[in-house]
Formats: sequence, C-alpha cells, structure tokens
Amino acid sequence: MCLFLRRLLNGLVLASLFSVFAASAPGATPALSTPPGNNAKMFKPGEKNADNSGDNFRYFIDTQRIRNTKEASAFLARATFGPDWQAINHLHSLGSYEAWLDEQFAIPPSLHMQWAEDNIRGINGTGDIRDNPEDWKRHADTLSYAQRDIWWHLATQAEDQLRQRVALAWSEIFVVSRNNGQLITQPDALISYYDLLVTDAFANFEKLLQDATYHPSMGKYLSYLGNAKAGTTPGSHPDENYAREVMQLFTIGLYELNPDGSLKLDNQGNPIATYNQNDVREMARIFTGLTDQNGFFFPGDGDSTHFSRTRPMIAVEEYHDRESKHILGQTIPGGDTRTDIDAALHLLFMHPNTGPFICKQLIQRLVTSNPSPEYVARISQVFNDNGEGTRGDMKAVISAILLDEEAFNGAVQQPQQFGKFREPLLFITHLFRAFHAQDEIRTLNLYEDGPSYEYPSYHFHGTDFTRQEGPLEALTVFNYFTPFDAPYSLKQEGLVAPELEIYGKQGIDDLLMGLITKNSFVYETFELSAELQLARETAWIARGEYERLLDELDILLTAGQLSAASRTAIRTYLLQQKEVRNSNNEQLARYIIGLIMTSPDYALQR
Amino acid sequence: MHRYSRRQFLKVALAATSMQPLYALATQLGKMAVATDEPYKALVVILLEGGADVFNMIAPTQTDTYADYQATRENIALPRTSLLPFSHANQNGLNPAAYGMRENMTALHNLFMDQKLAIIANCGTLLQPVTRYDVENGAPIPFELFAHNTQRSQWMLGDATGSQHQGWGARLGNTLYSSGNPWFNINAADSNNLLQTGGATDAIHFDEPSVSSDTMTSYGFGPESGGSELGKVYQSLYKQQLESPNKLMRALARKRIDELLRPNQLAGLFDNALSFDGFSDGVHETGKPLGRQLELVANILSVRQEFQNRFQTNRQIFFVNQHGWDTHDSDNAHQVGYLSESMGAFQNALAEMGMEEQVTTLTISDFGRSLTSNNAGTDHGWGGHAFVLGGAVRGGDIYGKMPALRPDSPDAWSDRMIPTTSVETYLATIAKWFGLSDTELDMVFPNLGAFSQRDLGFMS
Repeated sequence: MCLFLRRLLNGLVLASLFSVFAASAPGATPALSTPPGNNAKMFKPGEKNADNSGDNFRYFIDTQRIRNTKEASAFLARATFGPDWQAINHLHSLGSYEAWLDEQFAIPPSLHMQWAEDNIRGINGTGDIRDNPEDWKRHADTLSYAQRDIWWHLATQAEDQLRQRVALAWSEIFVVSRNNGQLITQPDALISYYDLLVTDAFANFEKLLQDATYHPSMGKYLSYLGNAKAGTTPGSHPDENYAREVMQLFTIGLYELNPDGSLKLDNQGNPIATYNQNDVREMARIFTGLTDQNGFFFPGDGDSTHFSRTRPMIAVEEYHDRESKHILGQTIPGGDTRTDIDAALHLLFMHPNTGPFICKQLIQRLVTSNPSPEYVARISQVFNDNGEGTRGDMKAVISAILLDEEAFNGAVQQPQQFGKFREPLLFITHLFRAFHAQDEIRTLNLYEDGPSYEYPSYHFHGTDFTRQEGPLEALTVFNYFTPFDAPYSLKQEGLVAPELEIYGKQGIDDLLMGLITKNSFVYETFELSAELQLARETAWIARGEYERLLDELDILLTAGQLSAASRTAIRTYLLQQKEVRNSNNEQLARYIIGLIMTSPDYALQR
Repeated sequence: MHRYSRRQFLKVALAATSMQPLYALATQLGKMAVATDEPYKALVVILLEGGADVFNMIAPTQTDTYADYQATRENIALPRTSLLPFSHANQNGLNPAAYGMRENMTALHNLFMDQKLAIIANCGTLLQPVTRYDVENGAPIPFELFAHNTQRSQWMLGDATGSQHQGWGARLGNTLYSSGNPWFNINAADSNNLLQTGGATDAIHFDEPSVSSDTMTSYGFGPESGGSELGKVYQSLYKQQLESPNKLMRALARKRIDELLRPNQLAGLFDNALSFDGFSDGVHETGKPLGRQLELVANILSVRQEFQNRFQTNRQIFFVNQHGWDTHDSDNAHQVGYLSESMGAFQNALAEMGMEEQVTTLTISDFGRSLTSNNAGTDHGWGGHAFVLGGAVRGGDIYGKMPALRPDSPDAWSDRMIPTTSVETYLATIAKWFGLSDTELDMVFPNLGAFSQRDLGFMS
C-alpha cells in the first residue's frame, strides 16, 4: 500500500474516529451523534489544512480490520464485478482492505486483445485470429460478437477484478462506442481502446488522458483523426468535436467547481462557465495534424490496417496549426502537434476543476450516486496531491474512494440517499461470479459459409440482453446515462440516480429471472452457456436450513441490505413452497436467488 | 373497421382481459382545460439528436443566393442542379423566392408542394431578440451555447432562461389536465427525454403496439420459473419499498409498481390496432430506427378512440428520436434521406386513417450547425430550420426570416447562425393550435413575452 495511506492511518484524528466507528455495530443505529461533516476538524472545501500535514483530516475506516463479511461483500460489490464467497473469504483472510488493494494493484492486467489472440481459434478453414489480424475487419460483424464475449469472460473470470471494474468506469467517462460509422466495422479498434483503459486504469490521470487522446478509436469517434488546420480546403475550420468534449466531458466540465464538487457562483448567484466558444475554437486548432498509421492523412483515403487501428495516432505536421493559441486565459506558444497537444492536455489536467469533476464521477460509478460534498472534497484532495506531491495518481484516488468512511458507513449515516443503482451489466456479472457460471468452448459462426471461431464463451453477446448497455456501446459520447440524470421526483430533492435512466420497463428483471431459473426460453433461444453452480444452496434447502440460506444469500448478494420485510416475504414463500408443495430443491434455490436479485433491495447497491 | 380490411390487424397476446381497475382510474383523472367533446389532436415531436445540418437540407437556388451559399459551404456545398427546387408562398415577404431541398428529400418535397409541410427559418434558443451587433457587444444570450446537452435541454424545456425544470410537453400536460393524465405524454423513442419529464405524471413508454402482461408476472415467472405465486412475492417486495426511507429506493419502487399496474390498465387497448406499410428500418441506424418509432406512433394513433374512451385523452404528445445527427466528420445525407422517407411514410399512415388534420408533426434539434466545414463535416451551431408537417399546417411556405448564408453574414456570429425566431415563438404557435389560451401560453412559456411575435401563423 502506498506510503500516504500508511501515514494517514497514523493520524491522531483517525485514531479517534476509529474508536467511534468501531463502536457502531453494522446494521445498528449509528453511534455517531454528529455526522462527520460537523466535526470541527473536518476539512472544509477551499480551506488549507492548518498544520500542513495535509492528510489527517481524511476519514478512512480502520483498514487493518474487516468488521464483518457484510462489509467485505459491500466493498467487493464496489471494487469488483461482484463478490463470490471465495472472494469474501479471501478478503477476510487478508485481514485488511489495504492488503487486498495491494494485491490487486500488483496483478498484471488481463488484456482483451491478448486473450483473443491466445484463445480464439479459427476452425473449418478459418485461420486463427492471431495469425490473420486483418480478419478483425474482414469478418467484423462476426468478430464484433467476440469483442463482447471477451468482455463477459474477463469481467467474470479475470483475476485483476479491480482493474477491470475501474476500466468499465473509465469507459463510461472517456466514452468511445461501436455506434460510429467507422468503429462499427473495427472490433479490434474497440478492443485495443478498451485495453488502453485496462492498462491505464491505475495510471496517472494525465497519462490516461494522453493515451485516450492519441488512440485512433477516440480520433475516429470524436472525428479529429485527419483533422486539418483552417483553410486546408478553402474556408474550412478545424473540427471542434474533440476540443469541446475533452473539456466538457473528460476533464473540467461546463461550470467552475469548488473542490467539493459544488458549483461556484458569481455575484448574481449564477454558475460560472469554465470555457467559451473562443476557447473551443482555439482548442480545435490544437487537435489538428493527427492521423493513424495507415499512410494517409484524411480518413477514407486508404484502407485501415490492424496496425493502424490499434497503435497511437501520429502527426502529419503540414496539417497542424503551428500558430500560438489562447486557451482558458493561457497562451500555448505553438509548436509541433505533439508539443501542442501535450501542453493543452497538461493545462486541462492542472485545472482545479479536473479533480472534483472526475473524482465525483468515479465515486458515482463505484460507490454512491449522491456523495456528500465532504466525500468529494476528500477525494479531490487526493487527486490534487497523493501525499507525496503527485497530482493525478489514480491508484491513490481509487484507494481513497474505496476506503473512505462514507463508502463504509453511508448506508447507516445517510439512510435517505446512500447508494447507487446497479448497471444492467453488473447484475449479470455478479450473478455469473456469485454462482460460478460455467462457460464452454463455443463456436461463433454467423453465416453458413462465413468464418468460424471457437473459444470459451457464455455466448452472451447480444445488446438486447442488457437493454442497450454493453462494453463500448453507448449511443452517444454522453454515455448510457449522465451524472445528472434522475427522475423528476428525485431532481426536486436535489438528488440524482444516473443508472435508473437505463432501467427501461422492468429493468433487466425478466432476463435475470430467466437466467437464474434456467428458463428454457432464455437459454434455448439464445443458446447460452452459463450453468450456475447451486449445490450449496440446494443442500441447505434440502436440509431445511432456511435461515442459513437467507443469511448467506443476504451477505453474498445484498451485502446485508435485504430489508426485514423482504426477508420475511421471501421466507414465507420458501416455507410455503417447501412444506406445502414439496418443490424441487434446486429449483426452489433458483426462485429464492431470483427473488433477491430482482428485488429493489438488490438493485440499489449500498 | 371493415373499411380497413386490406390491412392486417395486429394480434395481441393477452387481449380482452378484465378492465375494471382501469375504469376506476379513468374516473379519477383531472379536469380538462379542453372540453372532452373537442376533436382529438396530437403532436408528434421528432428530435434530430446531435444537431441537424439543416443548411444542407434547404439551400437557396437563385444565382446570387446560391453563389453565397457555395462560397460559404465550399467543399460541402450541394450542386445546385441536384436540389429539388421549390418556391414558396412568401406570405411574410421576407425571403427570396427560390430554394431547393436536398435531392433525397423527395417525400418532404412532395409534402411541401402539397402545402402540408412548412419550414420555420433559423429557429433557436434565445433570451431576447438579438442581432450580430448585440451579441458581439455582450447582449444576454443563452448559457452554454453549442454544447449538445445544454442546448437540447433548452429546446426540450422550451426555455433558455434557466427558470424551467419540467419539459414543455410535461407543462402542456399539467395545463390541459389539472391533476395530470398519465396517458397524455407517450414516449415512443428508445430513451427517456426531458421534454416529457416532470409533469404531474411521468410519460408512458411504449416499445411496441401491444400489451403483454409484465413479464415479471408471466414469461420470466412463467410456470417453469415459479409462476404467478413468485410474481406475487416479487410485487410485494416492490410495494413494501414504497415506504423505504431511501428516496432512491422509493423512486425505483414507484416506477416499478406503476409499470406492473399498467398491463391491466391497457388490456385490450391494441385489439383493433392497424398495421401500416411503408416504414423501413433504414440502414445501420443508431438505436431504434426512426421509421419503427413513427410506425409505433401510427399504431397507437389507430386506437386513439379506445385511448379516449378509457383515459379521456383528446390531446396527446408523442416523442420520437432520430439519433446520429452529430455529423462532425461526414455529410448528413443519410440521416436526411431517412428522415424524409420516414416522415413521408408517417403522413401516409395518417392519411389512411383520415387523421391528417388532427396530428401535427414537428422537428426539434440540439442546434443548427456551422456554416463552414471542417473539411469533412460541420460543427455545433446555434440557429437552424425546423419542419412542421400536418393537415392543419399552412404548408408550402417559409415562416420567419431565412438567414443570409455568406461568410460575412449579418445573421451569423462567426459562422454560426444567430436565431431570428425563438424556440418559444415556434412552440407557442403549435401549442395555440393544441388549444392553449394566451394566458396559458404565457404560463407554459414564461419567456414568450420577450419576443414580439407570439404566433408565426403556420397553423390554421
């Protein structure tokens, strides 16, 4: 674990806090009479810490001790694609969340392209993909399914769970999508981009920003691949697409923010814009001159290659605007493409908004939709300085988000608003992980005379399954939902619930129930391979150990958040079915798991 | 119904089950501002999501105006000979006589010639009327121009001042139905929308013109998956969370319980729904194809009487969404052609049902786009043209003032058009036809008074 966290743990404030939190039993009324926000030593946004130790205002729970398995399960729901009992027990045996994070940080990344090359075998005359990389484009519609299959396989089975989970979060901020004229026929471009997010998941934010900016998939998605300086054709101006979105969505956002994520206001009480159209125009001049490595500047002038689809873009200086640019009140003197772009990205990286803007979204993706301003401020502070003088250390930021006391105690301290709705993808990954869904070597073959491939797969690759959510499948650069989305009733309360935006009619309850109960319509129509392992649950039902069953499922699935009323209703059903109807034990186990995972108690991750 | 015999009737899985709960609900609906015996009227709003380059949908064709257009648009200018020429009634006397539509807009061109389509020139978000001089000298303009989400939101709010938080469709519903009517705002798109959000009741979302029972009480819980016994427990879990202390939990529970009740309320509604020819899937559309969304609207309109009988909906708003208009790196020929074809098919469907007078279709978009190109496509702009289609539309004319498309255009701020017609004026003209009084128009569009024109005159 990095040094700064160790130092934090030695802080006096922390020690006193620990005693307070240790006294409050999970699930019981909190022992805190005053919320942390009222603590006199609490960090106030914009306030410099008086003793300059920099750290001791932060609240981390006792990371040396895991209070109980419910807490461990809740932690893993945030930090992974969902816990199984092995993961909970492993975390418990490690003894501390820190140790688990250390372990995760040390695991080499599971790269999706590597997995494809190692596992996807051509059959019936089709060559292996690793030897025929141009087949990615030639057989794009077939291999687009492979891109999804790989994601499901690694999300469910990869050891580097934290990294893969954070990569998903990044993919919903640095959005690139197959819903694009070029990328729809380039699954290798999407896989390569996703691997960038996997690789940089814990990197410095500036590196992530640079790598995403230079990736040809982003260049195509936001149309600055082949972007030429003004007048290249008479009267033309540089494309403003990336210039705007890199500011609005990837770094600083529309409005000036306080370190706690709240809006700064002017004298009239209005929000203050971070940039204007002139800034966008100037920034557009920065992002001129880049193209991919297929030997042509303008897209469409030549066929792309696997190489050009997956390697960083390069500069063609004659198309770059070398004059000086004036952006956000600063001057970039003007030089070659790379110098200009790196300078502009550095300017955005250093902007005071970037910390709170990005950190709040990461908190929302991993922990809770409506973090307290104090929580956001604490994480922004880590973004600004990891305790060792480094800005943008995402390893430190992600640790801080997951170890913050609000993550652990929010359910008790903020019963009116704590938590986030699970995304459709995360329901399914958790189901597959919790009950060890078995995939099989499957054949991928769309057309009778088309290419055929074999690889281990759940065969679970249709977007329809997950209601328009999939790996890199957003309809626009604004993601499947925005950080500000909420039903009107919540908006009126000043609350958001972004993921609820994609809970279409029924959310994914029907699909989930079909998967869990092994509904023949779901399994046979879509030919899935995802056999759930339910021996334990079946045995408990056979032995009449109903409380044990419900206890274990409550911890494994809902992290102890199954309400008393829900539990009573489910227990009543269980008893009735078992004693009165003498149902099949395994099928009954499926019904009980299905009821829990389609319950609102489960949908709202806390 | 026999006169429709050449059409197929849709089969509905769970037709004709009990309907008692819904009549009970219907009687509780609020008082209507519009008398229930007034003829049915509907609005169909098409969002051109991403910002439509309307300046390559309508282009000037006179020698001088075309030369300006060509000089400005350069490499993306359409050849004059390719345009479908039209002249317009020019009742307001503001615009040159000759224009052309893009060559793949045959359906819309025909509708314009048939005087069913009107063009609203250079419409956009405004706080007050402004000229280029005003803008360059710091006159108030809407916040965050040129950004997709803020500008689309302002269009959907019918307000750029920041004073409104409910969509204008929701506010129309609140005005017409004093205690809300859940069947007034129908979302036929594949995503939620702000336009219909925030009313006394939420918009109802349809995926298809049928009422299947909620699968959580049937298929998902079909016999092999636990059946209705399990479905009852499932529902009880949501019911008890209506009382949860957690507000997010309550919001989910409310949403789900409403959905669970709906199949019962809608049972049999689509028994006599019509199906239509002419709608297509397009080619590689992003999201649900517009044609399928409009077909769904037509299906629903075919049972409007059943809707009215049950829910007193003699006014309804439908929302559909065509994705993919943010054409930074391409021309938008494809989107234009598919829009035209789909709107044409929809108008044909209305004609088949004899509903042309009763249904008005209108387009909105995030913004217009830059006049000049970035070599490949165009960037985010401000003002843009809108299209209004229907039997009640005084079509065949351009309303408002067409901007000069010149590099030094007095109507442009740099190369982005400054709107000469406000969103409020555009929408108020339609809302007046929908039955709102002057007082109600000022309530629904609070900044309407900032503009001298309240009614562009394109609705009869």
